[in-house]
Amino acid sequence: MGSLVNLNDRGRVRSVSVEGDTVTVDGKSIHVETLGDGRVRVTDASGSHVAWATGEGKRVFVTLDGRDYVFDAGSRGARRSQTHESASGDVAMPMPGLVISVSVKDGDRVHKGQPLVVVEAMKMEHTLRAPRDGVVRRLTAGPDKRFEGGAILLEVES
Amino acid sequence: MFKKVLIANRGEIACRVIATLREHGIGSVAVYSDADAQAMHVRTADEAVRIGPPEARQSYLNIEALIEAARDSGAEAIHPGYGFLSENAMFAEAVEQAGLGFIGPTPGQSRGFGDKRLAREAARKAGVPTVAGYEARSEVSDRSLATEAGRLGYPVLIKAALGGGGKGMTIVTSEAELLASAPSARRVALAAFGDGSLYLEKLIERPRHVEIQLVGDGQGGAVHFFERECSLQRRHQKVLEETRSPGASDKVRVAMAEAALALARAVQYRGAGTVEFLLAPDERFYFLEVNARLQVEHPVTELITAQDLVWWQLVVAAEGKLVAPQEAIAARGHAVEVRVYAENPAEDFLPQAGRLARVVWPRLPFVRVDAGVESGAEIPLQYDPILAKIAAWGPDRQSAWARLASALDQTVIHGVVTNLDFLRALTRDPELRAGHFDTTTLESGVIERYRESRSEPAPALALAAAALAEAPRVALAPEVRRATDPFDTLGPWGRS
Repeated sequence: MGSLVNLNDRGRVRSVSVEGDTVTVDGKSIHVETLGDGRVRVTDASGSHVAWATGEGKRVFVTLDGRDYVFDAGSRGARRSQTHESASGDVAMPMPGLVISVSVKDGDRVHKGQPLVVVEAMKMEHTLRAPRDGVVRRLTAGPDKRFEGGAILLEVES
Repeated sequence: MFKKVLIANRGEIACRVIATLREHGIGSVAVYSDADAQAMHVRTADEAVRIGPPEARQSYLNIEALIEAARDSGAEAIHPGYGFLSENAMFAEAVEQAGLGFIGPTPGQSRGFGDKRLAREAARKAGVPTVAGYEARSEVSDRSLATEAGRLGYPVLIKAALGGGGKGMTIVTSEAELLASAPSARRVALAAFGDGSLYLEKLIERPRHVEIQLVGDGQGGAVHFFERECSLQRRHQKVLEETRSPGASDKVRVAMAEAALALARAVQYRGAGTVEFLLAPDERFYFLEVNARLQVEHPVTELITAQDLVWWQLVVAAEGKLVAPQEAIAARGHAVEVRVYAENPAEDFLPQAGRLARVVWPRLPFVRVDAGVESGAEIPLQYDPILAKIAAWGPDRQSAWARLASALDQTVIHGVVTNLDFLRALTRDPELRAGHFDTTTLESGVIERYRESRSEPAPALALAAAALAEAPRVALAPEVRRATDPFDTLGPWGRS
């Protein structure tokens, strides 16, 4: 019995079928061998490569030939997260720090990826973006306000 | 020598200090906040004491709790690591008043080097070259500001006289720009530091950041451990450090080391410290600041000198003397290090938190890993997200860089997104490999090139590996497969 796995690669959903020791991606057959402790030998026409693969939460992490890949396991309804696993639409302070500026107000309609709040933490500025399309609610962030890491600055209600 | 030392820090640097303590048979006491109860430094030390809740102000920055922990555990001295309270004069003072040894500079030295103005003065007095500048009190007119700026020569950097950390810094290239920018610079300075005084400084264009490691005995004696090149920075945070510097000639290196030692001797510096310089393309160098502590990047110096800087710190603190004279400190080969952070290069290096499901460190000769985490570790949101430093030594620069690149390829960190992928690209960048860079290089092209190189869809082999890891989990959760699995229209028994 095989299974079909949908992997979200930065917005592109790719379907991969797993049938015994053969995996099919984009019509290409790849021979796979589990080596234990997260190691996988993958073999195609180009030859054999040892990769590392780890499922954690809704994501799958892969290291192959000196590159890192992170996929969302789309088959389980997962979605690429920002810093937090925030299916809720919460925009949270990534670390303890200071809010520099807020470009929205309560009730504003925002689209996914839109910059909302600029914060300073660890001597660096970070732009927090809308995790989804929706309306800004429960905005607590304001310029020069200090927040603990994990504090919810606002919510994007869909 | 001390019998027991408390480390007022966490993560990789706490583990680093514990390693030297253990090597010399000195007891180690770790401290931890509630967020770190299971952390590696807690499980590595001989003893561990809880000092407070996750919030740093109530734990790792809580002077009272730290001194109480030292007293209760019978530690004779405190090692502050870097960050947190390491350069806090009040902490050093409180430690000494409690009758404990502070493994670092005297409170007066911490205070002096913490204040940019005092530090600059001390450097000038010791004959160390500083960047030409002019301090303008808030009542100085814009007109006379312009005259002074003209005297320094454009481009000129305007900053708050009392400021630090790049806040409110503006570069002006002409008198017109200066006159336009001065009022807002004053406002920013007043708002941020309660004083509208400005400091004008001649801008050194395309400088390298080169620093000298030294240790002073507190009585006017000091030795240096050569230079480190730390020009590869992102938002003033160092990303990759190496020694020797590919950009400094032998003549400059010697002159820099002499200048750093002159400053250390003049203030009778105690402990390990680093004098940072800007090195201009014309080979002139200028005092930047003193980091009065052990630095993050100290391993590269240890790799080329075979000297343990933490041991040097302990010997100075306990016995008021240097481990060895200058003649005994020799440099051999080249070493290069990168800082591994839980931060996502694809999201503007946003810090990440979560569980490290899998951590595999590289195993190859002449590679050093200073890690503060292992598989299963939780990365809390509250602290600097540094996970480890990976450094490689080689007989020459090219072999050290190649070895580091290979070590990073063998490193696996899964569960939290890290900058590892970016670091691998850095160690293979031809421009960086050639040593052609300054403090602006990372942010003016390298990061952009990296982003472009990673814009392609993931290769089929990576998807195959991911699918293999994911397939058993999909099989365990058939009910959520419905939305996407075409076989589901056949019902649960449809696929046999």
